Amino acid sequence: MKTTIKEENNNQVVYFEGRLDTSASSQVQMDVQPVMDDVKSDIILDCNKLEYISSSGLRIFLSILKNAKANGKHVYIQGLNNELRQVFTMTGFINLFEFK
Amino acid sequence: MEHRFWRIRSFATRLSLWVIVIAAIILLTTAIVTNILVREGVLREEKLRATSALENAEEHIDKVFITVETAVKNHTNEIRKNVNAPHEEMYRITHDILETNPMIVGAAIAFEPNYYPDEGHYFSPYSYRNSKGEILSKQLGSDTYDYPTMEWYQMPKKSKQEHWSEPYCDIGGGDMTMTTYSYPLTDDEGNVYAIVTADVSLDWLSNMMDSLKYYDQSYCFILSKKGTYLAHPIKKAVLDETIFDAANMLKNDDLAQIGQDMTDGKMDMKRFRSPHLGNSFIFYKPVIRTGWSMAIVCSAKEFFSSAATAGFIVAALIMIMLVILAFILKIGVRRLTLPLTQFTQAVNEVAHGNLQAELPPVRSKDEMLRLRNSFVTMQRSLEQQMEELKQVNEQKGRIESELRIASNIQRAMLPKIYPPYPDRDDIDIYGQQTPAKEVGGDLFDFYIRDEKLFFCIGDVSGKGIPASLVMAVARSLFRTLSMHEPHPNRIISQMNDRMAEDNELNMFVTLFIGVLDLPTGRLRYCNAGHNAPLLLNEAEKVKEKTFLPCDSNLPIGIMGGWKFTLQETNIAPGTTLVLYTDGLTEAENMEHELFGEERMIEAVPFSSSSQDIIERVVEVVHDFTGEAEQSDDLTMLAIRYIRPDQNLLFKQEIILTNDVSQVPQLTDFVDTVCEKVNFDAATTMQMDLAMEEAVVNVMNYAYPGGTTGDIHIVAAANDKCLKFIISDSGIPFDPTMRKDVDTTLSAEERPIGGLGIHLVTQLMDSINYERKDDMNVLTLRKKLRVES
Repeated sequence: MKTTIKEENNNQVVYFEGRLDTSASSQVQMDVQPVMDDVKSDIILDCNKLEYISSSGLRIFLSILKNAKANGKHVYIQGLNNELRQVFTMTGFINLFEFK
Repeated sequence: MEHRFWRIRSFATRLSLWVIVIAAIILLTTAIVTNILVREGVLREEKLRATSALENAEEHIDKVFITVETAVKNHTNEIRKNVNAPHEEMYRITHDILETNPMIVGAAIAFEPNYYPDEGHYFSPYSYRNSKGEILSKQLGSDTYDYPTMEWYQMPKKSKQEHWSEPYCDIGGGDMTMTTYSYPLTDDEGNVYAIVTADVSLDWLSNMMDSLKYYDQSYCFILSKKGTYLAHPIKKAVLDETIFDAANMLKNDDLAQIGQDMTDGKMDMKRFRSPHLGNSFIFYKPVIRTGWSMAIVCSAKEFFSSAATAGFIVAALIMIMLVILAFILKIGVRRLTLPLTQFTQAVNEVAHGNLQAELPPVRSKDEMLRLRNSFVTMQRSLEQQMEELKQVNEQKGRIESELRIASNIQRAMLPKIYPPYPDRDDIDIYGQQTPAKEVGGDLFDFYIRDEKLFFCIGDVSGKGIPASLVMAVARSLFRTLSMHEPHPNRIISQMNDRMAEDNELNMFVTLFIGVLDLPTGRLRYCNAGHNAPLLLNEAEKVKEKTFLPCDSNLPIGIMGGWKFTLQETNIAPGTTLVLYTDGLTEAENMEHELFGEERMIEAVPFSSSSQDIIERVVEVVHDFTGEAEQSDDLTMLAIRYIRPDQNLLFKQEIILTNDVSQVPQLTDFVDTVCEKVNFDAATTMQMDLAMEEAVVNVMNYAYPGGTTGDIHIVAAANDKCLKFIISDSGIPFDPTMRKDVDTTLSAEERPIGGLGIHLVTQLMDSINYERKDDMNVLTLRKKLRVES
């Protein structure tokens, strides 16, 4: 599992690559800490290369969202494949996030 | 014929027939009596006519004989005067007699022998007519003709009176029928000295008799004193045959009697069989002067021909009158009974439902009017009753229809699709209910939640609608309470508390609730006063039927707050639970014998499906009760627990420790399993997710606070289903009891946790938790094929 944060067009873009399962979640939690600590712009979660996500991954997404919202910023998700979109639907997360 | 007469349906026809029959009897009687009287009249008339004819004939005969007698007597004085004159004078006198009367064919004056000594022994001057009509004379007496010995001489001489001889055939004088009149001459001393005679031909008698014939078929005859025919249509019988000869020859006794009467000089009329005319009448009368008897014979047929004609005319008239009478009756009676026909039509209409049918008008004030009034009353009262009946029927129909709806609603409450779980191979359930009335007080139910089979069977006290209402309440309470409570005793306790409240009618329910954990076969149950279920144990080599041991609890609804006890047992695969209500064991036959537990145990067959078991028992019960009315609801539920590992395609297992870093191993394991059952990538990902969430849950909660332990995972699949069994020896932890997350909350409200088990229930077809032998056992199932 590989997590990369980039600045693009005044947005913070987080690229997820690989399987975000429970075993990877603590690492990812640490990797995304910068966007939690310093919310200076809207956040885009890029899932084009995300293969899998479990509830621990969803919890990371939710904590990012809660944090951004608390700072008056938006969180967008882009590139979510159909299988993962279904997981978002099942959990009601599809209603929480904005999709690009 | 008479039988058929009675079967004539029309009153009018029958009345007409009766009148005609009676009229015919009266008319025919009259006609017959009239005919008899007419015949008697005719007979009287004919008798008079015949008598008068016979009298005329007698008169005629008398006349002839008187002229003969007169002619002879007129000459007696002349003879006396000339007794002593020359003897030739005597010839002149006989000659004179013949000339005086042409009827006389011969006359003689026969003197006593030796009266004139000069004339010799015999002297009898005699004159006669020859064939030319000339009168000749001769002396008659001679030695060959000794006249003093003759009848015509002897009879008057003896009696000294005139005498008519028996007729005889004069052979010498031209074969004529003759009779001779003799007159004795006496001297002063009174001695007979001569006999004067006159011979008369009787041929005119036959002619005279022929002229008496006044019918076409009749004849006359005359008998002499001795019965000899003097005149008869058969000429050769004349003088040759007596009536007695004829009667003897014909063997006709009537004729002989008639002959006797006639020769006795009687006058009468008789009916007899004539040899010539058949059935005949005979009139006869004597000729007093000569001692003869005359008779007229007539055919009876001809005699009464006028009467017969009259009878025929009368009969014809009667027939015509009867026909006219019948015609009049036909019209008259039809008119009189017309209202009856119309009444019949009206009543038929009434019978077909038209109560307003119009009745025929009746103007007369007789029975018809009374009949009409009765009909009107009947119509009104019928209408009224129909109206009442209609209302009653409407009410009844409404009640029946409501009852039917209630029955449908109640039936809808019971499981009715069998098999209920076609894609499950571990359970085989069949239930059946036959209510004694439209709605019943028995209930049974079952459903599977979290791989646990919740089932119940119960019997509400009483029957009918009240029981059905309580049954509906009990059933919905069961469904509602069991939805969140896996322990049957607690479900029953809560049901009991609810139902005991405000239970003014003291209705109660005997209830058995069981919860069967399908993966493990662990049965938890609670029995509130219901019949103990029958266990068919076929798991071991020994097949046996036993009752499930049950604590004696109160039925529910009697006493709120009662502590119901929980019982547990393990059900081996292959075991069947047969649940029933007392409608089975207390089914009665015609002799009021109860079906009983023994018959039930015997009736339940081994090695059968649930449906076969129930149907077999129902069949045996029906055979037992026969025609007897079903007195109580009959409800049965059979649950067959089948070895879950049957038809296993494969089985694979892995043991992990409670470390989340082991998730990739788990994912690899799940991927391998999914590949074996040919799941696509998307489903495989779902299985990865569900298993990760379930296992991580166990890792986090069963082994809390740094404790370690193993997690044993078994994956198994048959042709229908993929199953994961996750077991651990950690602290009791039932993830299914966690409150489900609310997916509609906003980001701010959403809690961080609780997503995992939500995802498992979403992704898997079933999730089941069971604490067994100090182990947490979590079973997840996924159907292999999605039913299209």
